Amino acid sequence: MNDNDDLTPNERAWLRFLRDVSNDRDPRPTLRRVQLLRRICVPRRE
Amino acid sequence: MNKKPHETTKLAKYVERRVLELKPKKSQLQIASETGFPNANMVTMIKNGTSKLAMDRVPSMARALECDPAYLMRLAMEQAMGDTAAEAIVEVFDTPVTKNELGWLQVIREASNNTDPRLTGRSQTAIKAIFGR
Repeated sequence: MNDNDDLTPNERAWLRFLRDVSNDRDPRPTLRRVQLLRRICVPRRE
Repeated sequence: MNKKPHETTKLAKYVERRVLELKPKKSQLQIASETGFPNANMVTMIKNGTSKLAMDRVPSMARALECDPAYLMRLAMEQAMGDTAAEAIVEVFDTPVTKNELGWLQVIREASNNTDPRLTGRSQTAIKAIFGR
């Protein structure tokens, strides 16, 4: 895949961090991981 | 002279892992043939770091290894020119993004209602926990 023309700087930062933390092993977004990631990304209510 | 100059590269280790994972369904010989290597030993040479993977073989080898071509290309770039040069190329032309990575981005976009969330210290800690780090 290479259709990443519209990645924002923030998204690039997420990608870089995901690569670092997974030792660049291209991990699959499994159900469990997705559930945990969703919790982080849900916008906080002020 | 080092007979295995590419032994410690991520690509050599990754190809070795994929060949092992595919062992129940296809042989190394098949992988070599599907990649289009005239020399069947080429896969062994890439695995043990004697030889590097030529960039023009990345698409066919990704198909043979049943892996993401963007991922294999990234590893091939690092192997061919070293981390620093590969990073410079990525900076200019943008990084190849894998299907899995697009999946992660999709989750981030959906969960955040497309608010383009910053990668905060809190999110970094949480991601580390997801990956057991």
